[in-house]
Amino acid sequence: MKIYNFKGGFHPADHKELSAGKKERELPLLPKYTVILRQNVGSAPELCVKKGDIVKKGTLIAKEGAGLSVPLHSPVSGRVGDTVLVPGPNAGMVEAVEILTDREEQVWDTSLPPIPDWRDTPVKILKQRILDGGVTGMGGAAFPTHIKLSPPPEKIVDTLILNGAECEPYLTSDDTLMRNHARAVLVGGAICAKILGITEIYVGIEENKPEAIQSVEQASWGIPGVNITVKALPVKYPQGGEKQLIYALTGRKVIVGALPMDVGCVVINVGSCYAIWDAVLNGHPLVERITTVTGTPVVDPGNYWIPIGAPLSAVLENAGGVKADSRTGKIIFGGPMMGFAQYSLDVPVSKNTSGILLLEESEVAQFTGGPCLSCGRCVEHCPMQLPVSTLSKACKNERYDIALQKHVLACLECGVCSSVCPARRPNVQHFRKAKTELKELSWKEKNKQK
Amino acid sequence: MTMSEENTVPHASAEEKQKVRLPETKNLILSPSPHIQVGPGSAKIMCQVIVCLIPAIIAAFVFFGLHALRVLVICTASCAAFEYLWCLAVKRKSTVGDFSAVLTGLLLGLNISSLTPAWVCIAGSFIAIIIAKQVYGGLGQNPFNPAAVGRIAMLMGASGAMTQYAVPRSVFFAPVADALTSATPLSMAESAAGMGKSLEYFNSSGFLWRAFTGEIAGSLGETSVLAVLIGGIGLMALRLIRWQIPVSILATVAIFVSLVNHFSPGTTPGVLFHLFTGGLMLGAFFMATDMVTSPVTVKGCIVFGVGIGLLVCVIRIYGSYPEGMSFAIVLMNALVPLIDKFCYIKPFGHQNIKAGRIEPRRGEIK
Repeated sequence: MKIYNFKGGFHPADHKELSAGKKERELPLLPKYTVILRQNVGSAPELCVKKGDIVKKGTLIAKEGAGLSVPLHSPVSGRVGDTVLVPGPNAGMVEAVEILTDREEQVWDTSLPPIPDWRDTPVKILKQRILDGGVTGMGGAAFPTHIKLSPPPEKIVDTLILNGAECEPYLTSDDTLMRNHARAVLVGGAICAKILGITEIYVGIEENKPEAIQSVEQASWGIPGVNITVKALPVKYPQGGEKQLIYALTGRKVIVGALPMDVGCVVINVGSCYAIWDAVLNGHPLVERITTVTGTPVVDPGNYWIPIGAPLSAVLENAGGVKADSRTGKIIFGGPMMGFAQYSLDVPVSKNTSGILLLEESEVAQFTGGPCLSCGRCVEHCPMQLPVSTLSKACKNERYDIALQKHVLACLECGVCSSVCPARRPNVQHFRKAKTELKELSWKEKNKQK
Repeated sequence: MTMSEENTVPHASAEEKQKVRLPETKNLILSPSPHIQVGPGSAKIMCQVIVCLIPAIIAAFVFFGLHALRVLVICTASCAAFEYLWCLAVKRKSTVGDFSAVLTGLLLGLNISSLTPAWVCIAGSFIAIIIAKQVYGGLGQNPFNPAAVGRIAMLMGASGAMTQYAVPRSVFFAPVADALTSATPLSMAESAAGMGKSLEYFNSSGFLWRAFTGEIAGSLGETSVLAVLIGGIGLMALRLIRWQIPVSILATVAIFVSLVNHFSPGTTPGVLFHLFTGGLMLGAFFMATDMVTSPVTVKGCIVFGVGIGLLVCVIRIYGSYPEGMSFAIVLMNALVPLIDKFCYIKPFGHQNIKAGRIEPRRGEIK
């Protein structure tokens, strides 16, 4: 079967060996969890419990808000505490609710009954369950999954793509899920396919995860009703980018400004599939997730099942802390290419924390912004084939008109151009600023017309 | 599934917690992604190019003795000095540490004769560093290759001193005045062709072998094709240059010269003569490929290379100068912004959607 190889991209030293193939571990019960209210793209859910309420594991604590939103559940059994402000994973202080545990018996809330016969269940009920389970994209953006599974009727979707590429260096959480829970992931995928009314499922996995490929392939034989094709993809970042993945698997190109559903594809992360399986077959809402805790300073790197709301400090303590001779320069939520740097150890884990990465001070990139040599490395490696060197200069000089002309809005923000730059220029950082400014400008123009 | 139904793990004891070392938040760096970097920095790239020049420098020393070293040292030192003085004058942080001035100096030295007087070297370095590079804003801003501009200025301003080429191995450390001088094969061939003489000597295998190893009169780095090729392969192996540029230059010259030979024999010597003599090899591998003054896209690099190849042939065969590599490079440098504009690559997914090989299939799961 043909694999389409997208132009550009690169493969940095991925250090996946630090955490790959290790046994999944769990965190011991902590005295306090702080669950951030707004964990998804869109509006924040509305709190529906008050201080002192007794909650079980999986009890609804916040109903979905208006528009794009998902509900929120308690990660453990305990008492609801104060609503506090905590440092958020994307900087700034965010509202969160405390759940206090007093050595209560940990029991699941049973208000969501398991649906073992999902094949005979109406699509509407399944979709409602995914919403009730609070499932969001677990890869990065935390986009509500039930919206992704409801394409408008005029868009014909024929292919479901399960994203197991995990192209970010260091991270192995999706790899672990696919190795150990391949069947659950694929059943989750099959549920999505049923909701979309299609039978074609592609699983894209990078070649450097042979165990995951084997395990998913074996599991795919036991799931009737859908055609599951597992494809090994070339190892290069950003293979897991939505547009790149669709191209690699189907040869379809998502045009600039369009959505995957415009070419008949829906892309779902394997972590979200696992959460869908858990919500449908077990009736467990999304209250914990598998997260890679890794990096050279970490004593005991590996993949941990972490309840949503567990603070970073507790996670690191359970991973053995940092080595005595290390000097941690950066703590990142997510991968090293697109993750967010943290400044506090009080940040709680949220639904899209796919990894917690610690970097030595010497490993941290410094963007000193030297003069551009026009070497063309950025242009050569850009997965979107943007004229990065000229675009970056235009954005730096705030010539957003030129930037718009040169398709700055097509930028994925994957960060390859900054990573490979010999002059250490912050290219993608300029593009982010330009994109924000351009969005603001277009809003202003729209408002003027009104 | 992952946490058993009744999970009553006790809280981690306080003693255990104390043993664990947590990162200190005051040391944390906060910056947006990406957080890692790969590949060499600018200064390291310059150093790698300098290392690739070492075979050519050794060849220059073997054929032209201490005079070669004298010229190279004067050019390199004065280029670095002018860079430092300029930074001092405009109150900017010194940029000598990025090694670009050292590289320019070495290339300038390799582009001139071993008999060039010191004052000409220093004047050429001044033009290369100050006029061709720093007044535009320094590294990365110069539209023209500084070494090529310096060489052209020296050739124009001191053409007498610049066209004195030593016969290889004729002097090692004797004074310049004692050196045996000779014209370069290119000018000999041009005058021979002008007088209607036979060009057979220039196509003989004995002459071509001497041209390949470097036993001919010429500029320091230009004579030995072998040494430049070793460095050029190093450049390509380290991915410091785009292979498209030298390959398209050499291919264009080969095709153009063989066409001329085919349609009007006797005008100029054969393809190998043109490839092995003059500054073509050094120019194709080290001068035209200068990152700052070459296009960024692969397509652009090919257009750029073909342009240089054509200009070199036209200047050599029909122009009044026997050699035209620096002129060709500088002329094409002027076109680089235009080339980059027209060889603009379309973003991924810019063209119409191409249907993949999967047939759209819809169906309900039974």
